[in-house]
Amino acid sequence: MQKRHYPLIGLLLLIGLVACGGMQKGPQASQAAKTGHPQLSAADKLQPCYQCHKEVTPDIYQEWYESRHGIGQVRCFQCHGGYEDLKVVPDRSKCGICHMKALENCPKDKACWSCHPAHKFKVKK
Amino acid sequence: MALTRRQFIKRTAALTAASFCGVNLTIKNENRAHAFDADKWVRGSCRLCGVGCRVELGLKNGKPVALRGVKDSRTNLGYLCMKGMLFYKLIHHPDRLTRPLYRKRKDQPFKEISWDEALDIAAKVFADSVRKYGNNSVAYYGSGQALTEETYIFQKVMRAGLQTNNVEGNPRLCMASAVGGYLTSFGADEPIGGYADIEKCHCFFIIGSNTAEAHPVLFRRIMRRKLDNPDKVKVINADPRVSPTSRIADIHIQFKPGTDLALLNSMAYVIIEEGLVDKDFIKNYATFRKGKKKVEVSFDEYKRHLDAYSPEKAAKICGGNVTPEMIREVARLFAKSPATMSLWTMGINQRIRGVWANNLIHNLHILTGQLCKPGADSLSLTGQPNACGGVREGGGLCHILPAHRPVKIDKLRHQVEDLWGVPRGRIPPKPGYHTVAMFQAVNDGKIKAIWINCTSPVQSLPNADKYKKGLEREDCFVVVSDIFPTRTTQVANLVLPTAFHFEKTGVYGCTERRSQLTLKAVDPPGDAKPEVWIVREWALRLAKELNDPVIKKCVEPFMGKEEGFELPKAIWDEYTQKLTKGRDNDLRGATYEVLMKMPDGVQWPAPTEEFALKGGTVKKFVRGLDPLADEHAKDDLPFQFYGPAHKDKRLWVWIRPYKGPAEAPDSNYPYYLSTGRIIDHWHTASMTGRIPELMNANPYAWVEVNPKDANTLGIRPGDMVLIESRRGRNILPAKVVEGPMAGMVFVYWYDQHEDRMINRVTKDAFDPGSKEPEFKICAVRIKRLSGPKPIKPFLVNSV
Repeated sequence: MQKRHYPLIGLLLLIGLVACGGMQKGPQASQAAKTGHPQLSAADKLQPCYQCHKEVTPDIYQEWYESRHGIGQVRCFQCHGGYEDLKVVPDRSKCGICHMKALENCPKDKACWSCHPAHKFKVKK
Repeated sequence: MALTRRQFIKRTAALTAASFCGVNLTIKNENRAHAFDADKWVRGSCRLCGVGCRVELGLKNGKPVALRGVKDSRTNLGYLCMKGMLFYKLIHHPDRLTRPLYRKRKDQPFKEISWDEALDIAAKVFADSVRKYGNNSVAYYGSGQALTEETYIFQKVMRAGLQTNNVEGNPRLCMASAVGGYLTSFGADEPIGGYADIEKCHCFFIIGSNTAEAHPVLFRRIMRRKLDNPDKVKVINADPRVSPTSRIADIHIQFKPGTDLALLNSMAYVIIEEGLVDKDFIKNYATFRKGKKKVEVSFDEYKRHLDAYSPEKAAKICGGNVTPEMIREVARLFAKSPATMSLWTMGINQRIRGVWANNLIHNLHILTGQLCKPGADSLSLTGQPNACGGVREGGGLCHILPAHRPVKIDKLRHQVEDLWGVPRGRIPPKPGYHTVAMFQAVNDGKIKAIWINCTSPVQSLPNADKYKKGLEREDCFVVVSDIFPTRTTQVANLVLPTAFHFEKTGVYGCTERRSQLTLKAVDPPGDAKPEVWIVREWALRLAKELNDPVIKKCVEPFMGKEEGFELPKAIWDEYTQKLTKGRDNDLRGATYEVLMKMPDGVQWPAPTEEFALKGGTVKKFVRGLDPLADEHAKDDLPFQFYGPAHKDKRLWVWIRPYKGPAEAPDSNYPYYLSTGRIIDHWHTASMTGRIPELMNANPYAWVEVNPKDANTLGIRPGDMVLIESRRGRNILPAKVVEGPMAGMVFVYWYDQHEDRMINRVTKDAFDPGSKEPEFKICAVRIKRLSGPKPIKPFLVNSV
């Protein structure tokens, strides 16, 4: 099966956002530096993450939208946190909020997404 | 200065290349399955919708830090939605009400008072009102979010103590039509099956429900079933609005609001015309009925009645995308599937013929025998976590006593009086005011003191301004017990701070007859108290004020009990061991001890602890699964419909003609308005609005406008739009979307801002049987006011 690399590219893109977060100034800038997300206006913060990310990271958006998480309305902030507490790579424990049984049954030495590709969330890669 | 969205996108794109080097992809904590940093987990149920997801609250040094799903729970299989994973943030929220507040007049500011003062005032006002104006001058208006123990003790004190049946609750607004439907079709309230049918279902018929947003975890189970079996499982979604639920649908039936009865009758027409009826099932278990007198009629008469609903005729009535062939196709799918499950909620219930709409869904199941077998059920989804368990079963509506006993039936009323040890005749035989009538009575000055618990009618009643005026009257004393300031605390005289979920112990009963216990994990903030304590202490003062020992008798079994566990346990024991004994919701086996052992509670009937420990009754009326079906068996047939409302112990197929909405569009108000939920918020947002992630995700209500209408009206995305009915108006930003059908607009109802409280616009016409209002349909006109304007989220944040 042909492997697609969009998730990795998207992940790296997000990490890019983290790397540049510190460029902002002022009180909001310090917040941006902390989370790594580029600074957003108050109005920008009042919209779902995917509103921008379907343009910024269209492949990731599309993968999520078509996945069980997308259809089932599991939103970005549920795994990654929001603007103030963004984690580009979520803690594995976040998966455990809904998938405790899987966490117990799956290998303990691997990240969930090493078998279940991030944003697609197929049962197996 | 913050980046504009365009700048943000540009910057992000420019950064992509740079981000490839020097990035450490090591994932910290990945091996920590329980990395929430919690040192203790306490089990309970979700506080929000009616699914009944089981959760564990994580505590760190006694403070709530997380919620996670219970993996062995049969309700949610471990899944949680965003509300379920975040509501722990409300437990110690700074906006919590923490002291009793009082003002003599509603134009005065509140002042903090002690509990002794507060309870004395509440007792004196209610006692004075009873003395001066009679027992029916006082009222209790409760909630499908109150624990069963709370609803039970409130209604006991009101009925046997203050001798009034003015006991109502917000479930009247959401599931009263479902109650009427179950009683008149199956002879017993509440569904036959439950969620376990989802994984065995082959055809989902979802009508009048945006399950994906209103019951997200249940939707996840339906979605999983569909995606795992894309060809074997069919999903039919019938709704005037295309919603996120429609994404898994094989067929979306988009009919004109209020034409559902024609559609459902037409499906029955096809089922009969094409010989898809399960003749044996009908012969063994069903009869046909019509009219107020419930006259039995022949199958031929029923068939003749359906002549008015041939697919050709019905398609014309339904409009939208409905074609005769579509009706035929869905009827065939429904009837021929190995197991069909209907799911619905407010789109069906909140209609002036909501009971009839429920009957017509049940008709399809009876005609095709799609009942009592794995994967087949006619399942009404409930909107609140304890509308079923607390209000429907616990006696929280004006016409029913605990354990499904109609108050007007002398024998059943006297049973309750005997079980409570109060004199016969103490509970009045006449039902009290139903919800709309209750607030009309407030308007009319007939109710002088009302206690509103855990709900906000100023925002949630239809035609809200009309009823707000009554609550603002100075001659009506309003007590509000709640956890946060709301639109309703703004009209209160006395505000009582209550304990939140996990700050008290008690039981919730969800959609599928399942009772589940939530244990106290933390103390409430400040002076906030559990309702069970408040009612007990209030009743003792009432007894003194009115010099009436019977009022004291109502709470005597609960005297001296510690309020965090022993008190609710004693109330639950009385309710289950005494009141549910011998009733169809027999819960005697579901003791606190059993509930604490179960990951997910018990489905009634569960007459013994031994049976309850196996989970209870998965499928009602089925011999071998339901102990009462064996106990009440009248023959050797496998299904026994022993429900108390049908003396013939049979299912009833109803003749119910088509009836449109109370208010259809006309030349002055040319659009349909419908309202509903959005996934991030719940009810009036007094809770979800205080969780930043949820408020940011959907900070204010929008009006959804179909692109065709937007084009006609010159409305562009984000434009400010005036929406106006004969009752009130809103000003909302527009979302131009292929959601509502052309000629219809849709508004989310959670927003507390006075310009965006859509119940100021909705209509308060109600079903003559269930008394449930037709929130879902009214006529409006809409107009573009301006281009986009900055809007701030709004919450009532002080009383």
